[in-house]
Amino acid sequence: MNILFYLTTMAIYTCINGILTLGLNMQFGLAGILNLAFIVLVAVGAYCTGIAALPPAPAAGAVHYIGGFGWAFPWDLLFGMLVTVAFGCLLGLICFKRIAHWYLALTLSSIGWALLILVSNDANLFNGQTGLIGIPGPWQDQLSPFQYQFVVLAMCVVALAGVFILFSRIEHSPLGRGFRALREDELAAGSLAKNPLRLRMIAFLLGAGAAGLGGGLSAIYFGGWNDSAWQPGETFVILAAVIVGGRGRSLGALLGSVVVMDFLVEGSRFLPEIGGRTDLLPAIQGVAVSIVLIAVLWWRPFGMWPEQKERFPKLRRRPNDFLPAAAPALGGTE
Amino acid sequence: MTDPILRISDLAHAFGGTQAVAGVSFSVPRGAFCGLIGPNGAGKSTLIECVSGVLNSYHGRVMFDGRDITGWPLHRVAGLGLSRSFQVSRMFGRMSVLSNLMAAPPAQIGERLLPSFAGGWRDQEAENVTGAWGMLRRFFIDDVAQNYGNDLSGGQRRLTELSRSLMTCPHMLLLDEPFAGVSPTNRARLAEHLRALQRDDGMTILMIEHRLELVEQLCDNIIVMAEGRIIAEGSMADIRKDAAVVSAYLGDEVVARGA
Repeated sequence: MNILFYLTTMAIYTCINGILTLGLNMQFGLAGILNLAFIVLVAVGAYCTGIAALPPAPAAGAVHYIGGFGWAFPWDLLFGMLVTVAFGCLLGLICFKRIAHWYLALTLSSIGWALLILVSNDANLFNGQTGLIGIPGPWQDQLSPFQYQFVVLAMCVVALAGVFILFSRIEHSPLGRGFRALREDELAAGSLAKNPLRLRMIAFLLGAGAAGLGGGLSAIYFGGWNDSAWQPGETFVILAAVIVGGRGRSLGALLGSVVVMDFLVEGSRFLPEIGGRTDLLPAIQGVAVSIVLIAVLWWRPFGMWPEQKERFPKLRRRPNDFLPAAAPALGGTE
Repeated sequence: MTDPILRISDLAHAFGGTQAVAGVSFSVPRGAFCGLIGPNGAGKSTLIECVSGVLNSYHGRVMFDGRDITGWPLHRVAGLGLSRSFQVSRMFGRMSVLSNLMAAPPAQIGERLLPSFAGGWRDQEAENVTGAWGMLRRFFIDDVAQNYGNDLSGGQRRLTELSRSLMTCPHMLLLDEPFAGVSPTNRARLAEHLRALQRDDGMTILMIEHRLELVEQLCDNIIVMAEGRIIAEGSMADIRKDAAVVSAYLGDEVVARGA
């Protein structure tokens, strides 16, 4: 039962990480928005799911939080997602109109740091470093912890499957092609009457929805929320997963999340301790991720399972030459 | 030829203290092949950037197809049927040539959020693919249809960019040095493609070009710019007679040809 408990825990982590990686892949891999504040979206989703599920805060307690609606299972998660999308909308409206490329990445990154510093230090608004505790999960009070594992696992698997199906359908649609065109060359996309702001916003909000969902699920599973889990560095682990797996391809991103989060980050727990120092673990995890990231960029620059060329339907009829071909062919290479 | 498709009045744009375009007015008749020439720094490219909406804080007025498009951003101008190419061709590098073209057709159902995952766009997609193959065959680049945009030669890039522009079903093309990076042998062929577009398909074209023999061969109306202003306008024969142009730009060439 112990090993089964561990395995289900890992499966839950894998699903949640998969959802987050798919979300960042939609934003960065497809639409090219280097969102270094991705973890902020996850944190917003987790916090809002938490306050939707928790009962109202006691008036004179040590715990402060906004709201406390006491809503049952699907509604707290839905609320978390909606607020995350609304928050993403706000971020997008501030950032996308005038800022692009690396400046956008820097802006988002700065916003992320600023918000986390605010949240950790202002104890009155978000309860500082204590965060939320005792977030109730669905049927948690009626089940043993072991049975509850499977409830959460089922939720996570369904959520991951939903996000994956939705995102890979979009990836292979003309909308996905529009995202890729925007990523490759914004001016050229504009010259084809693509509205860059619209495309960027759609990709960003889809990613924000996934971030909110993943954040909400982890808040429910852990039963708590505090700022230590949402340090800005966490974004880079998810980003590494997207790059290692194959940016622009949902399946690749999932593979990347398994390789980076399960094999590298979780796997380094099983390494023998160096001189009995457990505090080295985060550094070792960072080193492992970095080495694999560099190796992948060196040998497979587009990821382990890279984006493929689009496949198009077979022609149903012979193409009429669009217009009469009056001119001879251009020679081959120059 | 009295019906102008593009009318530019008093257009001016400055980069900081440099007046790149200083009050330019002209119109392009529907179906015409116009050439825009002038020495480096004359403001030709800046003019195109303003008209196409890449730059949109200029002064003056731009009318296209009877509508005031002054200050419109690039994607709205393109959506109205004024399609442009770039001085350095811009490919979607990590997309196949066919995907490059397929990004272009207007009003794609599958580009809206709901149909993109719910479906209902595949019939239109099949039609567009047929059109894209037809376009590739017309320009003899169907053999590189599955190559990445990054892997094309200079001439193939130009043709891909041109056919991608045409996939947007434009009413007019703005071409910024379409022959740059094309080898001399292929230049004549590309010129033949452009001529066929205007002559057989009634496309209106405004082209910036440095090589006067190409401009003379293709364009029926030529606008000469220098230092941000128009200094002459007319046929190549008219322009040759113009003393201002000869001194500003054509001097050596005209003398060399003994005109």
